[in-house]
Amino acid sequence: MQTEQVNGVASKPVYTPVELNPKSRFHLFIAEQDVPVELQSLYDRCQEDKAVAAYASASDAQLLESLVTFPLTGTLYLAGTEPFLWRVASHAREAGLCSDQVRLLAPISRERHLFCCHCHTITEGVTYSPYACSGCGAMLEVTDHFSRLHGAYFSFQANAEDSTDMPEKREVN
Amino acid sequence: MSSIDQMSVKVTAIEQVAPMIKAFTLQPLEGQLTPFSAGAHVVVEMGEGEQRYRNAYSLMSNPNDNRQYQIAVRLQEASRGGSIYMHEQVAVGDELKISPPANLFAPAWKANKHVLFAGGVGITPFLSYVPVMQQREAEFELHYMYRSQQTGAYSAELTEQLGDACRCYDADQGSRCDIAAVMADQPLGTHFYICGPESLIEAVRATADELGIPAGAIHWEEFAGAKPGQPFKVELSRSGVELAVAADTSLLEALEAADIDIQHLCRAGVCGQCVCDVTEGEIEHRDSYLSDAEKQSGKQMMPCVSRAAGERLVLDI
Amino acid sequence: MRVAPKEIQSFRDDFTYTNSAAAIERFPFPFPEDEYRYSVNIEAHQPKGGEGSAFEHYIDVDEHYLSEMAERELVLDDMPSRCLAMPHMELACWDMLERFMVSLAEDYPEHFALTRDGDNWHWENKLLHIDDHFTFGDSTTLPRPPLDYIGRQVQGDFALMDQREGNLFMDAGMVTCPADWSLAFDAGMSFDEWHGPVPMVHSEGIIERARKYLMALPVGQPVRRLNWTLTVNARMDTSSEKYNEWGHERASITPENVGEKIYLRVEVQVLDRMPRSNAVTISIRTYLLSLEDLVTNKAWAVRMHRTMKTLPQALIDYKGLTRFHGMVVDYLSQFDPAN
Repeated sequence: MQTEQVNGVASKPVYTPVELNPKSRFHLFIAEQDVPVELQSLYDRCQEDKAVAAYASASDAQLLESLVTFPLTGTLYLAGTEPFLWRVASHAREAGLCSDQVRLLAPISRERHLFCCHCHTITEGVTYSPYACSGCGAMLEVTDHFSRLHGAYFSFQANAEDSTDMPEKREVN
Repeated sequence: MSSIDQMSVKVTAIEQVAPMIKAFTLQPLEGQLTPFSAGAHVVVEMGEGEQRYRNAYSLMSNPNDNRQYQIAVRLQEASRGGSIYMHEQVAVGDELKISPPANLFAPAWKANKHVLFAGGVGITPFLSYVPVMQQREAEFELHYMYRSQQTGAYSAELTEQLGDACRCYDADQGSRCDIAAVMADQPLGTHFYICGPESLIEAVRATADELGIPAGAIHWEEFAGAKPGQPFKVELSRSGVELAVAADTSLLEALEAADIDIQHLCRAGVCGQCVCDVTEGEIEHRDSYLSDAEKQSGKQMMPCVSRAAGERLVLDI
Repeated sequence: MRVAPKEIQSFRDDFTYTNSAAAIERFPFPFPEDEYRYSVNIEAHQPKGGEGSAFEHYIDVDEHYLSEMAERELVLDDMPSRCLAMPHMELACWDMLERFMVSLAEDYPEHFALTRDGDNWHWENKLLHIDDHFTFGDSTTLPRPPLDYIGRQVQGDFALMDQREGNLFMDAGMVTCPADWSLAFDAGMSFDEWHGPVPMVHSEGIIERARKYLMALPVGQPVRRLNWTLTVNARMDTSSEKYNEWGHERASITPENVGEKIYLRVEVQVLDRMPRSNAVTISIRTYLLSLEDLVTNKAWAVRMHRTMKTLPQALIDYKGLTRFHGMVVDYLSQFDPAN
């Protein structure tokens, strides 16, 4: 999880280019669906013991299963949507991997998961703001404050201060 | 910390636990001691006037026991005085001053397994780990390296108490620890801890690097404090005071001897409390607190371990 | 003089909350200079200001005790998720319970009593009519888990941070009166992530310095810092969760009601190392004072005016003051002779 913080909201992940870990003896590549070209290229360049797995509709139990035999000296490379990256990363950390053993490729889509601070429902597939909460229906202002635990961005009712004052629709990156 | 935060304790027992190591039991003069967390240390102040020493020692008693603390002190031949004072001057009934406990070497409790490497008197923090790890039913193994003609305190007790979880290596009996063999094939989520001389720390870190074990799984605590160096002069720009720092005195000790109170916790270049602003002079950085960029800027230093690279420093104090 | 707890007042709906003259006098006014500057401003949390001040004791129990505890019950009944403790924080929660019970019993023997015989403890809270025997460290012997139990008996919010991997992680807390943040969302965050939305502090290195400082905090040497914002009405629960209910109040300010409806909200944040777990507890104690009451102190009125006038726009926006900041400055200007 070699992310660094830049200007703006410090909790928003910044994805730097991923390199193979030259110290590792085992490399596991996991893609959410199809293996993207960046991950394939890492895999092809890897000379060590390696494995690749794609999880089109993997359950969390299956993901955990793939970590059972993971060695202390291994590195995990993840590709997929942002919520997927952080969900698997969180499982991996729970399983005992250190942060430098989990490497995240830049998300394959700019879709976000939104955490509604009012009803705590997570709304998926968000590309613009404000966006209707799938739980309470509130029109949510999308922020850059990101939770690795929830794999989601913080959001709040956009017109709570003045119901007639709805912000203009904007794309989120 | 400044002197007002210290607690007075009485030495209630002294035990020679190895040829070069004495264990001291400390009880509070009044009130209770606080419980502490596994791996914590205190700074012990001893002596008076010119002959004043402050050394950091790991607490090795059970962390849940707030009736008394125990520390162990190895006599250092090249000692700058503290350990010689503890060994030769301190007697049962004497009073000492200690800081509250601070912890810069806590176990990573989320680990699946803990592997502990102790060298000589470096066993002390692990003595506080053991009861807590047992209470939490954490999986651990202790690898204890020593020379029985000098160190090796509590090796018999640990072996008896821990069985296979404790391996002793007595160099005076020709027994060596194969560090690479211990570290290879440990399960995912194993964390490694080292307390001992720099050579042991370096050996374990190098082995981890070689094996591909992530750096985040390696934790260490150096028990060596400030090492001697060249004598130098220091000028304090705000007060105009000039001090001479002798070869076997640290800058922090020289400041304290001049009654300049500097916040400190570890006295080993780790905690960052004693950081001083430097306005003139080259610095020989020996700490592990400042970033490389901060060291290169030459504007700050840790007086507990770092020294002048030249003959003179000017501090903004 | 010490301010004794009084009858229950409300922090919602009809807002019956008031400050007595004595409570106004002891209000922890947060601005040390005329021009506003952001800084870490950490100082030792030791008695300062003498008997009766808000800093006299480790925990300040004041005239609002019963009101704040009643308000907390309302919030937790409505949203139990305002209190959470990850499993590895169990020991830290016991640490906090001990720290709070011991200091309350020592500082307020007329209200609280703690008797300890080894791990067999007896706790009495005479203000809330609580009388429990339990085994220290065994959560099954308490009516609620330790943080939930003691948190309902102490004013202020609490966050417990686990120290690991060179950082502090907010892995437990009870947060019912926050200044617009959500414990449920921020749970598990590192110190830096948690402060992610705060403007200016990251580029200036303030957060990093604060984190390094806290990570080296020794046992028994708590420190405090003050934070502040402005709140419309005497509303304790200005959580993000309820922003959809209280947000519209920000648009209700007029030049006529600004003095009565705007409250200076001060947080006394006490940071303390927990001895057994090595966790760091942050207590966030909130004090509310209306501008009308504030300006009864002439020196505060002048300073408040000058501070509000020099507040950077980024902070005005971040703190949610944009809609009424100008009215606050105008209102206060009448008390500043420099105008």
